[in-house]
Order: sequence, then C-alpha cells, then structure tokens
Amino acid sequence: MEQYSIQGRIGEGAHGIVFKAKHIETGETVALKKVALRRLEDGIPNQALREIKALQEIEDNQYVVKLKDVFPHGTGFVLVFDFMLSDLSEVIRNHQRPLTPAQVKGYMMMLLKGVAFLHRNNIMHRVSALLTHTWYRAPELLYGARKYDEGVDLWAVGCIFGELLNSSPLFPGENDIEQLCCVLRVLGTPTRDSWPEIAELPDYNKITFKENPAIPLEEIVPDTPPQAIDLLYRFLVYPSRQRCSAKQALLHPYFFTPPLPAHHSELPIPHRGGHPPRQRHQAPPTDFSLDMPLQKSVVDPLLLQPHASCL
Amino acid sequence: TGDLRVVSNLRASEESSWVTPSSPGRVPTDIRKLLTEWMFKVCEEQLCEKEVFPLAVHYLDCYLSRCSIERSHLQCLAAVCMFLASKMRELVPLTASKLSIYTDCSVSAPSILRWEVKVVSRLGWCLASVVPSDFLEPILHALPFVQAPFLQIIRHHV
Repeated sequence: MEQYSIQGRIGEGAHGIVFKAKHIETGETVALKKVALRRLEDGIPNQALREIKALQEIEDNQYVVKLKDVFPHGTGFVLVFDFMLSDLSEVIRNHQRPLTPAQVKGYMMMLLKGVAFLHRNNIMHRVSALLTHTWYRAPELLYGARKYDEGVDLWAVGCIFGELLNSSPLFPGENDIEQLCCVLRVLGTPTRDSWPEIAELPDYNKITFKENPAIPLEEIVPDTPPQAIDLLYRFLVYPSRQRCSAKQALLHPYFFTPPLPAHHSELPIPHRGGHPPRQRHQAPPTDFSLDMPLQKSVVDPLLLQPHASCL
Repeated sequence: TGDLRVVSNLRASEESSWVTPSSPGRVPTDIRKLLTEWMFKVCEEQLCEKEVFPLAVHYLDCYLSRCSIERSHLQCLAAVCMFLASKMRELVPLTASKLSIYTDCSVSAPSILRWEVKVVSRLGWCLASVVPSDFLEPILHALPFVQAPFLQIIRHHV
C-alpha cells in the first residue's frame, strides 16, 4: 500500500470503496479497490476467489480492464486496476450530450470486442457494472435457470445496445417479475415454439402472463436505421443458443455502413457524478492537421542555409 | 465418448502446480500425518465433497513449501486450507466458525479469516488446482468398454 499515493475517491462498488491513486515509483495512475472483509462473516467470497484468478490469467486485451496486482491489506485485500476515465453507465446516463450514431457504433464495437475476447477464453461475464438493476438480466435467468451459458452476456449486450440507441433503458423493470413483464411486453409471450427450452426452467409454471403479441422493435427503438434494428433482433431472442455471438456481431453490416464507428479518440468522456462533460480538445494539434497548407509546416530553406552548404 | 484433450489439459495444469519437496516450512512427517488425519476427520464428518480433502492437503503442502510457519499456527493453516478448498469445490462451503469448533476453539474464527487472506496471497491465488479424482470422469468417458449403467458402480468403487 505504501507504493501508492491516494488521490481521491472514485466510488463505491458492491465489495468495497474504489480510490484513484498514483503508483509512486512509475507515476502510473491506477484504481485501487479496497475489499474489506470485516463485515463478511465467511471471509473471501468464493466468486472473488475465482474472479481474481481469472483476471490474473487472461492475457492483455485492450477491451478488458487489467488487474495489475492484488495484495492483502488490513482485514481484507486491495485490487489494483487500470484507471478508467469513465464507464459505460456514465456514458449512457449522460443526457447533456446524446450520442451520435457513429459514437453508438464505436461503443458497441468496443463492448463486443471485450465480450468476444472473454467468450473466446471461455469466460462468462455475467455481471455488468450496471447490474445493480435487473434491466440486463436474460429471460432464462428471470425464469430461475441454474444452468445457463454465454447467451446471458449477449442478452445484456442487446439491452445495452437498445439503451445506447434510445438513450433510455429498454426493459426498466423494478424487480424480477416486473422485469419479465417488460421483456414479454416487447418480445411477446413466449411459447413452446418460440422458446422450446422454456418448459424446463424452474419458475416456468410458477407464473403466467396474459398473452400478447410481440411489438416490432422498430416501434421500441424509433428513428433507427434498419441495420441497427436487424442486429438488435439478433441479440434479443428467447432461446439463448440462437443469440448472435459477439464475434459474429462484429461482422454485421451495421459496422460497415456509414456512419462508420467512431474511433475511441472521438468518443466523449462524461464526467463522473453527472457533472457537465469535460470539454475535449476538438481540434487536433495544428502541426498534424490535414487541412493546413503544406508550406506552413515545411521549414523555410533560407533558415537552414547557414548550416547546410548544399542549400 | 470422451475427449482426451481434457486429460492432457488436466495433466498440464497438474504439472504447473507441482509442489517442490524442498521446503522452508518443512514439518516433520509425523506432524504432517497428525495434521492431515485431523483434516480428513473433519472433512468426513462434515460430509465434504471428496475433492475437498486432497485439495486442502495440496494447499497445505504448497504453503509449507514456500513459507516457514510457527508450530502453533499449523492447525490454523490446516483449517484455512479446508476453508478454501471447500469454497472452491462445494456449493455450501464450510464456515469459519464451524472449523473453529473442530479445533476445540483453539483457533478462533477471526484468526481463520485473518489467515485466509494471507494464505491466498502466498499461494498467488492459484486455488483451482487439479486433484487426482478430477481425472476419473474424463478417463471413464474415454474408455470404450465402459457402459453407462456401470458408471455409477465404478465411481462408487473408486
């Protein structure tokens, strides 16, 4: 812990407080997550035991936050992560600046690349940083499934996609039952034809809903180009196995038709805590501007003359 | 029909967590025996999954191969190893207070929790180790002459 100087508090997660800190030796800015075990009677949660090892094992990837170190501290331990300027929930809830279609595409691409990487390594993400809500929970989980697959992540990706397009959550349920209502209202009541596995889910017989037909996604996410709608349809399907994989999704025409995905340097960085976004330098440094006449960046040969006889 | 890649992957991860016999915290064989017998009894009485005991002993040996330890802390270490192994392999893991009772309260639950963090970081969070019985299922499934009705019986005998 002496290796870091704490610079401020970022926020509070499910397991502890997160600080911004500087690694004294390298000057690198990191996020320190202090996990205190004082209140937990059973010590280190077993999910943490698995997750930390998984985070240690996975190779570097631009789209997955890196666990740089973990060490015991006080009655618990400290996780050292890359410091992130913002997160997806801030991006989504930043109403001052609605995202442009190119920016939505840029975020979707980053999200899918991260998910594709994890799935390639046989890791299910399962919880997103946004999972304080039930909004992103796949229908099979809402019906109490105990065995599930990476499809739960792809459902969550679909929900986030819809939310980025609409600037408001797709299925804003307050609890599990209401969540199911929200989903069923849009996708229509599932039948054994549309979702053969439903009959095997633990809570299937415990609750029935009034039958209603599906609402076309075009109406749920209005003013959205057909390619985006098509991709959204591929994530939001009842049978988990039929959801489009992250790898496949990255090849969808949506990403190859204008406006092309915004480069990550063109994405806004919303300020934490809902403050107005920090103004990013819009213009690139003039030295590198493509629009500037060439003469302006070339050194005047006259200035060099005294130093180079050939001129 | 089984896939033999599973067996070779298991072999590879087993080898990577091999415990080297040279150990700073070497305890005399008779004491290790005493300790592991106590662990076995606890696991048996608590009806732990069969993998918990060998995994806990593996953690114990790993720890002792890396760090020295005072004699008086050995039972605490053994309890922590069972605590961790149970978390890794069981749906409803052993609790610190239950383990404390098995030590006749000579090791308190808070000290088990305190040691847990220490042991985990000394082991480098490498807890998903392979134990011998992990090989059983993939091998059984790869053997062409083993038929489904006999699987239960073979598992039982093993």
